[in-house]
Amino acid sequence: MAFALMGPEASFFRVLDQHRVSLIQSLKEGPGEAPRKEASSSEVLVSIENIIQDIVTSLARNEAPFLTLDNRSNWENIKFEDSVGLQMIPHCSTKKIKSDSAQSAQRFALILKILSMIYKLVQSNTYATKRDIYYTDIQLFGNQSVVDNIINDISCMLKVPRRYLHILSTSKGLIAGNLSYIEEDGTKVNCTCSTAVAVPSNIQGIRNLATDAKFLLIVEKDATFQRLLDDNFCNKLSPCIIITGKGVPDLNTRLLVKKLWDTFHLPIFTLVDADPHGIEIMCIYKYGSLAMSFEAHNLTVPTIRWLGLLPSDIERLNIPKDTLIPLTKRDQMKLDSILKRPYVTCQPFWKKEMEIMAELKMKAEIQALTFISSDYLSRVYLPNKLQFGGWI
Amino acid sequence: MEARAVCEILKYVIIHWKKEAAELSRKALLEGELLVSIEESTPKHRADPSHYVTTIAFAGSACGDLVPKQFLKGIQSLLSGFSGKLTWPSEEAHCAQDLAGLASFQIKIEVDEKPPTLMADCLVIKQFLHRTSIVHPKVRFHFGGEVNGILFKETFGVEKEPVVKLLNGIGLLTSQHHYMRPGFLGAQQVCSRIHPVLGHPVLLSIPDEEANMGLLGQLTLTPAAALCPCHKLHPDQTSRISAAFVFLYGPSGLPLIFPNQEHPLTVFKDNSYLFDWKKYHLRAAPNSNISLEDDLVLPDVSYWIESHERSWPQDSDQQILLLFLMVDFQGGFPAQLTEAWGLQSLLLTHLNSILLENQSLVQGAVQTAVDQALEQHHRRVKAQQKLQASIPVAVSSILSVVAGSTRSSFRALCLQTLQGPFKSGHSVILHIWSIRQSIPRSSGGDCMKPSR
Repeated sequence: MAFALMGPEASFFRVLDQHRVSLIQSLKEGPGEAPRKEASSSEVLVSIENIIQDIVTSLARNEAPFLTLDNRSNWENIKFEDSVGLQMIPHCSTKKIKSDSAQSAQRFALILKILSMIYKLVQSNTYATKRDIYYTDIQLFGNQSVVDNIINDISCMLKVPRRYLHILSTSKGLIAGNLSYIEEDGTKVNCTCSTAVAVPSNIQGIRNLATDAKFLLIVEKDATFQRLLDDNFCNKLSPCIIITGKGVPDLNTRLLVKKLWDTFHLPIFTLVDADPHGIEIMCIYKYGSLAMSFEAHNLTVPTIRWLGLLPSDIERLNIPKDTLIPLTKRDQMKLDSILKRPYVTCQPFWKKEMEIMAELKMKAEIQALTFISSDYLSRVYLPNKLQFGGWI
Repeated sequence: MEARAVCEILKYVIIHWKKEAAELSRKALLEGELLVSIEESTPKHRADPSHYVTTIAFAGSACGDLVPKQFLKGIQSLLSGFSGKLTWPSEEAHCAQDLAGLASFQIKIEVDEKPPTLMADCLVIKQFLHRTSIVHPKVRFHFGGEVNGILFKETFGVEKEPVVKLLNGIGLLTSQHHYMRPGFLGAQQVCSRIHPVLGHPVLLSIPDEEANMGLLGQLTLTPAAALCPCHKLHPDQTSRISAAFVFLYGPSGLPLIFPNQEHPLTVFKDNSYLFDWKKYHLRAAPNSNISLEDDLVLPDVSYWIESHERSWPQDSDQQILLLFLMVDFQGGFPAQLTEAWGLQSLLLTHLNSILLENQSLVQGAVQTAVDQALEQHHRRVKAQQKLQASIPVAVSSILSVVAGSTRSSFRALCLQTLQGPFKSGHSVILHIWSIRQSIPRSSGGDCMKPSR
């Protein structure tokens, strides 16, 4: 494809290319990807009807009906596989949502309400966002997070990815760089513009993805992303793609990252703050989250590497001490929690970095690099890291 | 009337015990035994007034200092105008059999009464003993005898009954059966105790007029509130408060109002005097339908309660709000027992004015105690409201899927099930039953296929 060739010489990408080769090699040698969960509309409708039928049958037997949900957010129901990340175990513990208990009756009713709405959406082949669902009756639902949780519960209960429920999530991510595609409605998108493009809300519907990118850089924060745009990073290190989820990533940003990996097997790196929150965000992209572990196969990219900011960079680069921030109690608890997670044991270098942070009792934002020089990040730090394989 | 005389003597005995006990410890619960026995001493079945002898015997740790002659003199002075005969057996007389082994004293009262009057008196005395026993849980009250050929025997203050210590040597029996019959509320097992919440004592100001009449000193009112029965074993059970009972106790833990007495406290005719019922979406109406023949402790004031917001499910349990108001004088006992006894009557005479004068204080103290007692009930009501509100949402969602389905087998099965007879009143079933007419009769068809 015809992209502007402004980047460094080909030798710059030698280590990156080698890395990509090894990734592809590992893929061939590995267990192979697990079959993706897909569901037709009629399968979704029948699944919902089966739930309703069970409820009606309970009523006919004069029994209070209930719904059975997997305990999605229970670590005991999670297993870790290096090739997938965090995923739910096959026979996980469940909880009953009873219709005759004052504590759970409301949740029972709301789940049925959203199920009936999904039923109509699928039947009529229309789509709605989670926000749309909430606004149909804000008094009934109370708040957005109630709706979000129930939709995830339904997706897990029906064992169907959310997009097959015809519920879209609002995208908040941005993408820029060497990438073009056509959205489902025919809109052509070219991400090489000087301003970033919003991550589309229908990742499944994207067609004709095209890129020459040598790597994809996931940036934790929007501020850092904008800084890179301002510094013309995508052209200086062209061909490349940068993407941000603006903090904890939304589903569509994760789906797009996954799609780019699946389609192009690009080396993917993360640029996060050297703090527990940044590390956790990176883990979400790489291994998935507890809450969405039931959809791990569709969302995780275990080949992601940590590019920066590494805690070891703080001392190596002589980052000024007064730019560092002491770890709070909450930071400490989060760091301890991450160190206990199952995936850390297969990432000894990550564990070492976290231990350095714990010993320092300090954290650093990416913005601390500006104290070395204002464009240190895009001019020196990232190019050196990428050229010489400074990722773990 | 004999009942009044007997009860006044009993009050005098209790006051004596309290006075003696307070010298050792004001907070300790009274201990002792008291017997009231009524015997007929004329041939049976005479229509004319019969001669009855009521024996009051009592024994307790505080009886050691009692000087019989002084005691009898005091009793005689408080029963002036009493037509019956009051005797005190000699000190060498044998103890009442039931109180053998303890230092005991006896007083005999002889009256001529018609049998129906005596029956009524017995009920009054029994109620007085029962009312007194629930705040003096360590005192055993025996009531028995033979009237009109019928033998009766009852004991109040059974050992090892659960008790809550309130204040200043006053306790409260917490077994639910004193206040409400078991099985009154359906077949479900309930917690057998009440859990009173003790409010803060408030200092009542005595109006000048009352002070001039001899009512001097610092008067306090302490409320205690509880719901009966307790529903902690069944948090999901719907319940509604159907009545409120108010029990008034004066100094020494004695019932302020004589059972079956015409009510001297008009403040309670104002339903909102004690409590802001609207806060809990309730309204109250006085209930004067109280029968002395009931075995339960009868309240001094009773209200019917109903919710003015919504109708309750048919299977709701009923609960009663119990409110105990303890009025007492701060400071020590008067030197003379008769003076202490007289204060009781004086207090009752002027209590209406005092309560009116201190309405906001009393209401504040009662409200706080009742708020705490009703907190769990209120939470349960809210939870039940949520549950009730969720039912139509669930039902309409179910019907929406059934009505919208184009799979004929699914629709047929659901419609058949929903239109069939239901065994009993599960609330969701009833709701479906009531709106089943809204289910459209779809003729079926193929499943809708996606347009793309």
